[in-house]
Amino acid sequence: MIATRLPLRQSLYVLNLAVGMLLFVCAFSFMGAVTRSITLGLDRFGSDAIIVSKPDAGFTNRPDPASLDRADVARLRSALGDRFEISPVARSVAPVSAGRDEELVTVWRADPSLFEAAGLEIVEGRAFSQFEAATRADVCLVSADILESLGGRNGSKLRQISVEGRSCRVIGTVSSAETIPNFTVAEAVYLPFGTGPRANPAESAPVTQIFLRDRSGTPDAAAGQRIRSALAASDAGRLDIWFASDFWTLRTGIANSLWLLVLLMSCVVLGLAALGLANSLSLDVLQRRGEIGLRIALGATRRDIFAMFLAQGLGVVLAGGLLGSAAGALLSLYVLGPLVSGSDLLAGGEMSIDATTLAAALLVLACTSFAACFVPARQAMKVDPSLAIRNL
Amino acid sequence: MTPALISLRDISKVYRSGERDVRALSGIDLDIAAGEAVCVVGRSGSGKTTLLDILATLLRPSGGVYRLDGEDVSAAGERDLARIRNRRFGFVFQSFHLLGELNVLQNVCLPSRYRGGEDLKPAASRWLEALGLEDLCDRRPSELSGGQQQRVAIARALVTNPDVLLADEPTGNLDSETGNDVVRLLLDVGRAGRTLILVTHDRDIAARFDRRIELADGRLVAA
Repeated sequence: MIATRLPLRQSLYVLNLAVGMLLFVCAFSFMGAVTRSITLGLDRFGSDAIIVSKPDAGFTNRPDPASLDRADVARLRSALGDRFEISPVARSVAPVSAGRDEELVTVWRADPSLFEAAGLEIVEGRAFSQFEAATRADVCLVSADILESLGGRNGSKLRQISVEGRSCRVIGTVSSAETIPNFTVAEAVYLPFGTGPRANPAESAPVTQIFLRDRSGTPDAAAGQRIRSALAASDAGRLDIWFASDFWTLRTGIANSLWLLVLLMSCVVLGLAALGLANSLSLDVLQRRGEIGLRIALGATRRDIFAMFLAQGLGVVLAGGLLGSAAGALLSLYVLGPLVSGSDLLAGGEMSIDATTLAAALLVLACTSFAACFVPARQAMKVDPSLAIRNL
Repeated sequence: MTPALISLRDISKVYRSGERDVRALSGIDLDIAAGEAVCVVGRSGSGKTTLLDILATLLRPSGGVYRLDGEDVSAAGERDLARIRNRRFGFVFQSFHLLGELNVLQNVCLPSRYRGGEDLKPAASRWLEALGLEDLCDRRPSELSGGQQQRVAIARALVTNPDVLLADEPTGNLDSETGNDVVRLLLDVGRAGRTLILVTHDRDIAARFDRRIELADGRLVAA
């Protein structure tokens, strides 16, 4: 009796191809979400912005040789005139609590104009009024994420929090979306710009960044030169001056590199799956030489034998491809999708299945698999029926 | 005189084994008439199976002419040979060669795939009934005894109503009683008008045939 077609091994390769295809679909859907998130963030940020930033940018509270202070803001206003809207920002890391647990949180001291200028959406409540900003009122806004970490669970709202030991009334909630690198973070508290540090409330916090928006449109390189000249005293060549276009270049460069990486990894996964399939089919041809001999004796041509093995291999590919595509689509939409939607890092990056991507993935799978099936099928058609029947 | 259904003239077969040639058959001249029952005997390595494979068109001879019903098949193309095997020959092998994934009826109908999907089920049912296998149609080969498997293989060989039945050591994997039954069955089929060519090394089986062809070292020593 001639052995069966080893359905277990075929099933394993269906599964192998399905996993490859699943990874392919999920990876591309995820990259689509990343790209959408980046595009959305940068669109909100706009093309008319410039950020002047200390290299340290207030992440650690360590003193930095480069300085930015209120005098720099005044110099910039003087040098640039009305063409630019200028919003100084002081960033630090400080203890924040809502009665019980205390956490270290990024604290932004900013003008009311920052929220609009930086593309930060106030999802609830309101921004500081000019009066609150000018009088350094004990009010604050919090990012959406901090509500949970500080105890505003189950829909309850935080009304009062302690920032650096100072009690502040919460007047609004800011979306956690990151618009540009190093400029906003998930968990943050926003205070009026003039509010001083706990140690010396009368003293203003050191400026870490200055946000500029060109009212006349997209700023040119000359604007950068004028900014650097105006800040020459503080700069010493260490300040970072970022145009919106720089962020575009940086982000699209990162996104393109990620795309390439994902593409290569997906191709490697599919290539390995196809190689495994070719291996399996070759083994199948060896084990079914008796059957091949029998079929030729019963009237099959070598072309029939070739077609039989090719169809068998492509059947595995079709089953694996469709199974993997369907599983990948379901995983992307119903498992990864909610995770991505809830992620601050990828805000706005909705997962979706792009028909073109799916078609391209299936095409790659079809091409690699055809090559993988072709070789064993050729082996099968070259089997000597006389020897095959005799050796069984 | 009845014209020969099978005619071999100066048939030879040479295999290449490394650097040297091995002559498996040499100068075979043989005529077999339609309806004849012929037994091919000889020691192991005498060329019996090679001769059968050439007769079955599974092997091309290295030299000589093979005519089947007057048609020179030694020069026929691959597609024509496949058609000849499907339409004119039936095969019975020592190891039965049934496909384990198919049931008995599907195994018997297997040649239909290579004759344009012709429905062979009625003929298959008739042969399975004639061979006492009608109750086993849905069984897998692994559920059958050796004798039953060989009878299924005979049904598969006969389902296309071939002119020639080729059997290569059909009793090799059977006990003597079952083997005798199978030989009797094949001889009965042969007496019904088909040409039967059976290869064996068993002298007792050969004695039951009217005509015996003996091979030694690739040559005919008795025809």
